[in-house]
Amino acid sequence: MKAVQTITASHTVSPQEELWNSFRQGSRDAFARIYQEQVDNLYHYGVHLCGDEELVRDCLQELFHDLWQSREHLAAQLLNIRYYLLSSLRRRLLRTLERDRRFRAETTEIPFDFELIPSREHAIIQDEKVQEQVKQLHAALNALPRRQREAIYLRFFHELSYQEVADMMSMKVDSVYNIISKAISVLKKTLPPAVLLLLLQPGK
Amino acid sequence: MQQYHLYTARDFALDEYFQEWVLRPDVKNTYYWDTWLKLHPEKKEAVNMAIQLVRSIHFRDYLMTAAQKEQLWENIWDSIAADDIASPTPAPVPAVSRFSRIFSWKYAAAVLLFAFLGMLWLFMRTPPFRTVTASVATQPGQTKRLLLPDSSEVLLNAGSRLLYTQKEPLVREVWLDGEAWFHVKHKEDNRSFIVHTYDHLSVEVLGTRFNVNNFGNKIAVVLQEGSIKLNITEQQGQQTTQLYLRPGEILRYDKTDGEYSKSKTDAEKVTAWTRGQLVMDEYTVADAILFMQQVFDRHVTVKDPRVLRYSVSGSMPIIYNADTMLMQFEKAFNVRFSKRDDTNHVGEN
Repeated sequence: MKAVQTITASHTVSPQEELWNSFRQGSRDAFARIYQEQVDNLYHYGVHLCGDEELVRDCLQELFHDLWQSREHLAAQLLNIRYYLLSSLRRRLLRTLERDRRFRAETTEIPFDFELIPSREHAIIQDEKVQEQVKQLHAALNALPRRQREAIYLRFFHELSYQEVADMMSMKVDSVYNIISKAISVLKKTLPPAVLLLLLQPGK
Repeated sequence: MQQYHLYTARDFALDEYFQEWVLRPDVKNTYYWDTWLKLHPEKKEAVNMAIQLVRSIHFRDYLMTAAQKEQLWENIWDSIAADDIASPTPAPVPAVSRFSRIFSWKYAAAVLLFAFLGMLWLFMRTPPFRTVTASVATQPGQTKRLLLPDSSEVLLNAGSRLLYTQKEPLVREVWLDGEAWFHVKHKEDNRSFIVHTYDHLSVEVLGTRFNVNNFGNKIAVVLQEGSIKLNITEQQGQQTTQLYLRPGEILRYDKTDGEYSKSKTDAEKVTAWTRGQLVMDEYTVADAILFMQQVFDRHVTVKDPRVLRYSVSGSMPIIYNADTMLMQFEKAFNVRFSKRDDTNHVGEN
């Protein structure tokens, strides 16, 4: 008991915790900052998840509305605001989709669509053979089941930890690890190292 | 320490810490990997390959325009404002404290006088009131279902004690040590029902179902239905804070420092014991040891402290026999418990 208390006392408050706490105490500035910092990421995830931009905007409005109204009841210690909001958005979208499934046409977009070539590297790809290989790689990755693509997306785009991805998607950490492993294998197998090196120059 | 010197490009690409460095380089991880690479130049090729593997994962971008973001932000505030007009938030806590500041002791005295006169009047017109006191306790490994004189229902968990008194006609009071679930019947005359905890916290209700856990250094109050008011006295000074709980909310109070926090919980899970079930959600071996201690007064331990963190999820029936229960836990966690001899630890701190 003693030891625990000392730890809490010497624990320094991170900027994220500070932001979260002033938000909980009703600071509109803090709320606005959370919105500005998170909304792009949330939107990105939402559209990838359901492909319906309008629905995502509606859900985001509801999410931030509820967040403000329930601020006093939210947990004081929040390890990761982004993770909290992403999983909340996920639940809301899935619930809405479940409810409206009958009325909604199938979307044509591929959920968690991989995009392999950042635009700045387009110039390098002139060789037709290389282009063909890139297409194959793209197809191979997008052939992974939807849930697997979502897990890869959450790890590499939103930088959630393996543990967070597992919690959010109700999976075991081992499964997340296996999924990422599978994706890495696909990447390695489809392209010979030389092509990879050519295509994916380090960004900086 | 990780055996990075044995890693292939694929292993690196899968390693969480390595990914962090590629996705989000900072001073610390850059220093770590630069230093590591200097010590293991033969791994440079594998590391480069791994960097490219991690970097090659991209997703299509979807972006809102600045105007869309602005519009969404306005919509959020519009909906919040619409809420405030529809139902002005009652904000009970500040109202109470303002109340106590405005009304000085003179008013309090006047109110007391009125109350006194009121009581006098009540005693004059009703037959003399008889004080009722009752005390019930449970042994380790035993629960009791009680029907209080006011026909409220109480389920007393193992190793607990409940004292009931009704000294005044309009107040029903109990003192709880341990854990109990209450189903308080609402009375037409709105008489209140108060649960005292022998600490700075008490629970006041009219009619409702709730659970109070008052074992050890912590108190947890969970509301199932209705509404309850919590009175918390500051440890220094006499100021009282009043809080309200809504169904599905839990209040945790720490007796050692008087800190408390309110959060959402699954009330059905917390009160599962009243239906003879133990609901385990990431339930650790340490939780099981605490359970054995609270419910059976049985002190057990495990040899390897790392085992304490093992956890399971699911549910099991609570069997009020310490040996059977312990065996159930051993099966669930696949561990062996041994008896803890507490006398050895008395001198330590």
